[in-house]
Amino acid sequence: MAMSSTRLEGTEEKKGAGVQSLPDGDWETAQQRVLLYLKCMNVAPGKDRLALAAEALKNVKTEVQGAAIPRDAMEAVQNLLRKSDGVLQGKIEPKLYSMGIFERQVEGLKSFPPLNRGNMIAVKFEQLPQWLSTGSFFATVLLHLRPLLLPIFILINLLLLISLFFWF
Amino acid sequence: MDEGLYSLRVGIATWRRIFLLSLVIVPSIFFSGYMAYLLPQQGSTGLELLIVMVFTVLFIWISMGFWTAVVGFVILIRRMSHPKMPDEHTTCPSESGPLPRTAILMPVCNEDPHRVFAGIGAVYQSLEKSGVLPYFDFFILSDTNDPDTWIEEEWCWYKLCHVLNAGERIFYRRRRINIKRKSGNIADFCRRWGRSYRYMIVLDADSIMTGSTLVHMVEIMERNATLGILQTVPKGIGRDSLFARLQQFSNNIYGPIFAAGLHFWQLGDAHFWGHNAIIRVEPFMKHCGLPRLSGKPPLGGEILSHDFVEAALMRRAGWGVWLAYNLEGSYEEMPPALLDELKRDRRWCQGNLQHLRLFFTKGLCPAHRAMFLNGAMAYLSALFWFSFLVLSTAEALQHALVNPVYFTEVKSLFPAWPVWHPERSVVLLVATITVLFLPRVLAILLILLKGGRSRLFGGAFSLLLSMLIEIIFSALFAPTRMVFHCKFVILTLLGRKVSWGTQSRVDKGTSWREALTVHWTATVLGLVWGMVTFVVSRTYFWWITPVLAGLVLSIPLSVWSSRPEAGRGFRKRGILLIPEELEVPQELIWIKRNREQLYALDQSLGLPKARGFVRAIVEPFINELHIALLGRERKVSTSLAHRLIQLRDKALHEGPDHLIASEKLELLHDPVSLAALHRVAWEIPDSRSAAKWGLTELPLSSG
Repeated sequence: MAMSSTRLEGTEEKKGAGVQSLPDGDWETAQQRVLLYLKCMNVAPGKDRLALAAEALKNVKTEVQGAAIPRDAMEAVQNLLRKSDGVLQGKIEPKLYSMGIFERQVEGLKSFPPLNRGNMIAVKFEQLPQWLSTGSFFATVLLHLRPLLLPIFILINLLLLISLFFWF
Repeated sequence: MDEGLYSLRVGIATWRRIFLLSLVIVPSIFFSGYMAYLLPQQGSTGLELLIVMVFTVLFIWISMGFWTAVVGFVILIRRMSHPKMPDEHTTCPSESGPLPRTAILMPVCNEDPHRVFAGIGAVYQSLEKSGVLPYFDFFILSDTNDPDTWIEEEWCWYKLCHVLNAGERIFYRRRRINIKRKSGNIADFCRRWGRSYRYMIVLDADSIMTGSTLVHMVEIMERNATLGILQTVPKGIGRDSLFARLQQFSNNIYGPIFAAGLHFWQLGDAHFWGHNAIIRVEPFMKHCGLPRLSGKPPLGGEILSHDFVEAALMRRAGWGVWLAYNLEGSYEEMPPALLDELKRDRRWCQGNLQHLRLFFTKGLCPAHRAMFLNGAMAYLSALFWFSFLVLSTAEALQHALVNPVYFTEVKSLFPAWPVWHPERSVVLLVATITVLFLPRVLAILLILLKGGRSRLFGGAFSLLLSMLIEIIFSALFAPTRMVFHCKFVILTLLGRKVSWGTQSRVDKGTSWREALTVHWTATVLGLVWGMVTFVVSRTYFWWITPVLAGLVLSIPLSVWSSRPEAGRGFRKRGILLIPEELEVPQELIWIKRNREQLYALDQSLGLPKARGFVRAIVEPFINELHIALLGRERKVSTSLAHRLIQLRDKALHEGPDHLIASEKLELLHDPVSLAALHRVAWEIPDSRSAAKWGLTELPLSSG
C-alpha cells in the first residue's frame, strides 16, 4: 500500500504495544478509512486531520484483531467526532459544512414550510364518449389483428395502388 | 399595460375572429379552385378531387399562421410610432406598495439538478437585486424517480441554500408517488401550500425569468382582478448545438410577431403553455383540478398536455387568460437535437389528440375549442401533407403512365384533352411560398426598421444570412418532422401508449448509430420515392426535390445539427446570433456562476454525480441530510422489514451496482437501512469490496 511508509504515529505505537501478530494490512486499511472519513467530514488537511486520525487509532482496543480493526477504528473516530463537536469547530474548513452535522443543524431539518392545507378537487366535464373516438375504435379492432398488422397493411396498400393505377 | 386592458373583451374578440376566418377562408377557396384548374382533369377525377380537398385543408392551416404573423407585424410596427402600451419595464416596488405573496414553482422530473438549482438561484438573485425577495418563495417540486438524481437534488438544494443563505425561502419537496405527473405535482403544491399564496409562477426546469419581469407580472395581476392566468412568451436561449441555435434564432426573430398576432385574436382566451406564466391560485384550485379521462391511454387516462385544458377551465369559470406578448425577460432552453425534439413531440402529440375528446365539453369558450383543434392539427397536418404528396405522386405517375381517355361515355362534340399547365402553377407556387415565408420576411423587416436592433443579431448582413440559413435548414428538417408526426399520430390512434421520458436538456449530440436506428425509414422512403419519380416523371421529381432531400439527408442532418461544435462554428462567424449572446443578461451569468459554485462545493470522495445512491450511503453529510429530509422514522411491517434486510445484505455483498433502481429507492426511503449501511460500508475490511462504495485509498498528498 502506498501509505505504508507514512504510517501514523498512533498506529506504530499500537503495533509496538503488543499487537505485532496482527497483519500489517488491517492497520493500514483502518488508517486509510479514518483519514478518508475525516476528509469527508471536511476536517482541515494536514496536522489537525492527522492528529485526529492518530487519536482515533490509539482508541482501538488492543485485543481487536484482523478485519475488526477497521470497524473499531471507524467506531473510534465517529465517537471522537461526536464527543468533540465544539473542539472540532475550529478544525473544520470554513466553507459548506459550518452549517453541517457538527452543529446538529441537519437533525430535524425540513426542506419545506409548514403545511397550509386546502382543497383542489378534480372538476367534472363531459368528454366525447370513448367509443366515438376513432383511435380507440381502431385500437380495439387492431389489438386482435396485431400479429397480422404489417402484412395486412402492405396488402391493402398494394391493392390500393393497383386499383388506383387501373381505375384512372 | 392599460388598466382594464385585461378585462374580458368578448365582443371585440368575436369580431376579430370573424375577420380572421374570412381572411383565411376566402383566399383558401380561391386558391383551391385555382389548384383544381391547374390539374390535368380540372379536378374532375376522384384522385384530383382528393388532392384539392387535402390542399384546401393545408392552405387553411398555413393561412392561419400567415395572417397571425401579418397582424402581429402591424401591431408591432404601429407600436413603434404610436405606443399603445405603457413601457414594459417594471415600476419601482416601493411606488406600488407591498406585493402579495407569490410562490415560484419549478416542477422537475429527473432533470440535471445542478442546472435546476443554478437556475432557481439566478431567479432568486434577480429578485434579491430588485429588492422584492421577501414577497417570493421558491418551490422545487420533484417527481424524480431516479435514485441517483434524487440524492443530487437534495444535495444541490442544501448547497444552494447555504450559498445564498436562502434556507427560509427556497424549498424542496419530492413526491413519492407521481400521480398525474406535472399537473398532479402542481395540484399537490396547491393542496399543501396554495392557501399561503395569492399567485404562483410556474417555471420549467430550463426556464429563467428576470426579477423585474416577475414583479411586473404580479403587478399586472394585481391591477386586473379578472385575470386568471398571464402567460409570457419565453425566448429560446443558452444552447450551443446547431439545431438548438436554429430554433433559438427563429424563436427570437419570428416569435414576437406571432405572439403579437395571437394576442390580437385571442385577447382574454389565450394559451397557457404550462410554464413562464403567473396563475391566480385561488380560482386555479377551485376550477382547474384535472380529472382522468375515461378509458385507457393513449386517448384516455391522465391528461398529458394539461396546460391547454387548465386555460380552458380557467376561462370557463370566468377568469381571463392573457398572453403578455410584450413582456421581456422570460427565457427557456430549446431541445438540443432533432431526436430530443421528436421525443417531446411524441408526448405532445398524444396530449393534443386527447384534447379532441374534450372538444364538446360544456361551457368552454369557442376560442379554446378552436385551440384544442388547432393543437391537434399541429400533428394531423403532417398526415395531410403526407397525403397531399402521395396523392400528387399518384397523379404524376398516372399522367406519365396511363394513356388519356379522349372520348368519354358522355357524348360531346370535342374530345376531352387532359391539359396541364405547369407554367400556371407558378402562380400557386408563389402564393404558397408567400404564405410560408412572408412572415419571416416581415419579422426581419421589423428588426431592420427598428433602429439599431439588427446590431443585436450581428448586423443587417448577418441577420439576412442567418434567415437564409434558417429557411434552408427548416425546409430540410420539415420532411423528417412530417414523417415522424405521421407516425406519432398513427401510433396514438392505434392505441400505443407514450412513455413519459425526461426531455434531454444537455448538448450531448446524437450518435450515428442512434440516428441510423431512428431515421433509416425516412431515408429509405426518400430514396425509393426519388427513384420512382425520377424514372417515371422527371418534372415531378424536380418539384419534390426539397422534400426528398430532407428525407435522404435526415441521418447526417440529425447528427451534424446536434453537435455543439457546429453551432459554435456558426456563432464564431456571427451567424444565427441572438441578442442574449451579445448582451448577456445578468441572470444567465448567475446561472453559470451558481453552477460552478455548486460543483465546487461538492464532496470529498470525488464520486461521480451519477452515483448518488452510493453517495447517500457513504458520504456522511449526504447520508445525514437525506435521513433528516426523510422525516421521522416510520414503522414498517415485518415482511417489509425482512425485505429491507435482504436488500441491505445484497447491497453489501454484491455491491451497490447490483441493485436495480427500484431496490435503491426502497432503501433510500428507509432511514434505518441508510444509517446501517453507512456504518457498515465504512467498516468493510476488504479493500476490493470497499472500492465498490468509492472507499479507495487516499493518497496523503490529497487534501
